[in-house]
Amino acid sequence: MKDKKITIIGFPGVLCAAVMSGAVWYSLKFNGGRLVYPMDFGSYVFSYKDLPMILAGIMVIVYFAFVFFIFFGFYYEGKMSGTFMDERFRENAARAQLKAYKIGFTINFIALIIFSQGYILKNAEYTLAALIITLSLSLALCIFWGEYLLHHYDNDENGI
Amino acid sequence: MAEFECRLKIYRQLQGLTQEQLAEIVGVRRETIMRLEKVQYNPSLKLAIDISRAVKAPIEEIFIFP
Repeated sequence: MKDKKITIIGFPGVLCAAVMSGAVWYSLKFNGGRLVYPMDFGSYVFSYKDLPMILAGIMVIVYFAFVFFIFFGFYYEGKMSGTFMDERFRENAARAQLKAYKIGFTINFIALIIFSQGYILKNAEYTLAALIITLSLSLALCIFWGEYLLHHYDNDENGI
Repeated sequence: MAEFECRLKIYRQLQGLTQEQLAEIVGVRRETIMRLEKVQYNPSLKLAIDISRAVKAPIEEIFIFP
């Protein structure tokens, strides 16, 4: 089962990384580094040579959404398993939630530091949108990561 | 993790109980009893007392701390 999970999550990730690497190479070699180096999107004009980078970017976004829903599946797996909530289950649940929220707060903290400096998105509206997206995704990640960790702690053969 | 020695399996078998039966008596899952016997879980005081009563052995004989 663990191998299956690694295959389901890992293989598409490797594929996305390979596609993105190829798209970056193509852009640098034949397209003057468009969509690779920072550029002014206000004056952007579509070129067919941009397609590899655009498609690779879409693929990466879809992959992250895919992984997100995989964790969502873990949530339902935990909820529907009919597990008897004895003291060990409650302890594992508390530990899983604590770790998940620690990770979430760390992501939020780093995102706030990076985006609030204004170097990446030189626009207040874009920065606000990026922060809202990041905070929303990290909250969702916390919720589902907690369920995944609970499942992991409860079923890990090595125990705690 | 092994902070103590657990002789639960010995006393459980002396009482002729399976892991499932003991788990039902003390109100936990069979997996919890299994992990206790493998010293992969540290029980609460209440659970330790319940187990002690179920297997009719003193706590200090079941869970031995160095």
